[in-house]
Amino acid sequence: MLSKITNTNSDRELVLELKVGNKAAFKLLFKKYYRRLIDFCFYRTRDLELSKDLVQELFTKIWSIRNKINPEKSFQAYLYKSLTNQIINHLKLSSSKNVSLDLSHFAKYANEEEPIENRIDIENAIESLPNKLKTVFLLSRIEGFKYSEIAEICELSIKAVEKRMSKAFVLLRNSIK
Amino acid sequence: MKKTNSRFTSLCIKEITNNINEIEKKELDNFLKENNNKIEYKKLKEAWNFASPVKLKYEISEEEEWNKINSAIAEESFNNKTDSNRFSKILDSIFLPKIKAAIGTAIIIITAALLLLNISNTEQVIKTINTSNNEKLEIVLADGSIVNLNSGSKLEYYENFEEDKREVKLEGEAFFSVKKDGRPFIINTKNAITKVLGTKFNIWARAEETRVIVKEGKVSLAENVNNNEVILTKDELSKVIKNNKPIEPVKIDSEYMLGWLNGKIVFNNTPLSEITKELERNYNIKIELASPEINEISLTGTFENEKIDTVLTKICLALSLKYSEHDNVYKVSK
Repeated sequence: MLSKITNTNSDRELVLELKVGNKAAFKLLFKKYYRRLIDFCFYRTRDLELSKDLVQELFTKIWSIRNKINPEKSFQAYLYKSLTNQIINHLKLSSSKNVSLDLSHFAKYANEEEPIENRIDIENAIESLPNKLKTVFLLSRIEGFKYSEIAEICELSIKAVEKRMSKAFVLLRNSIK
Repeated sequence: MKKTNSRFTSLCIKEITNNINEIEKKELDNFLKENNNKIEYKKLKEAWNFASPVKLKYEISEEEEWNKINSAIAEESFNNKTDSNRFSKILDSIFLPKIKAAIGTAIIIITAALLLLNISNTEQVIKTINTSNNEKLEIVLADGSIVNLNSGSKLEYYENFEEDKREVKLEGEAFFSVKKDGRPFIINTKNAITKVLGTKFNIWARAEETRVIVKEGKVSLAENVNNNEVILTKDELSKVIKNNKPIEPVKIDSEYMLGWLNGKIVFNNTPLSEITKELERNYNIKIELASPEINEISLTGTFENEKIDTVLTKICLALSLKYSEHDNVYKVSK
């Protein structure tokens, strides 16, 4: 019920409350997913300001279409699906289709304890993956989603997810000699 | 050879990404007996490990970002972008100029108040009011609007409404006399949203159905999935069943239909299954219908200050049914 909204509520319950305009429930959903979405968006775009904008846009949109969200479907999948679409649309619109990896920019946000230089090869390899493969791969690598969850987010069959994962892996493996 | 290879790669990846099942695991172990395959597996595993996400250390204030979203939402509500329907446009044209003029001063005052009092505007006190069977209540809301809550109903609302709208949640039946104050008044029920500015109207929301009857002014009724909407005016009725479109408004006599406000019980082509529930709430008794085929028989009529036995006798007479009573449980049968 309205008066008993806490962190332990399931997404479904929170979405039901969100649908009737309960801001407290909306804030809990925000808190639960915000940081993860920013991280994911950052890996995809390498741009923190852009990530903040895109995630803000996502949550604003969710509020305005809250009536249309189906609480019986995975809210998490819905978030990642929408965000992925936003990212892809943004990349399409922005002049450079492939964001080039800027070492200094990346180093600025990376944990200092990690040996940055050693990672550059693989980071470049991930970066140069075709968008279709990159999305699937990062959903698995960063978010730890199962194939079935990735299939739902990307609106693919599980078989198609498997295929894309194989292609991505092989490309990555070839890039580290 | 090529085929085995891709099957093997796929299995390796499933293992590495934790997507493998028992049978596939055995198949993979078989593959791994070969040395070449072992090397290939190691390489794939290495690529995965290399690709482990960098721990990002940027500082983001979630609260700050939340506030940005919050103000974007407030703006959006003012603009009413989501409801590009007729009624919202009417609302906008009447009230937006006033609101916009007031925003400047309001924002300054609100900000100042928040800074001075150090209160968070997200901490809202929610009030819940329940009526039991045989109980009716009149509630005066913070904006001066009056809600008459019928028996067996529940109303939830913020003690202080938000700056840009007045919103409540209803289960059961209530008659609203909404005061005009520039903000829309929104009633959320299980399957519908009813929106008004200042009018008198009744909402009946039970099970999977929301019915609205308008006594004065204009009311917008929409189902809450696709926002299909109808506009009702004086002496009109519309309803939303499950998530279907609201029915086209029909003319009714609202004075007659809303007899409950004057202690009457009014049935208008009402099925027996619903009649019994209404009587249960009014008399705090239990009524059982003996056979399912009588559930759908419907009846039109009004009862006023009558004993339950008189009411049931009349109903049974009209519908050629009979009833018996035992321990406050009434049984209606053929």
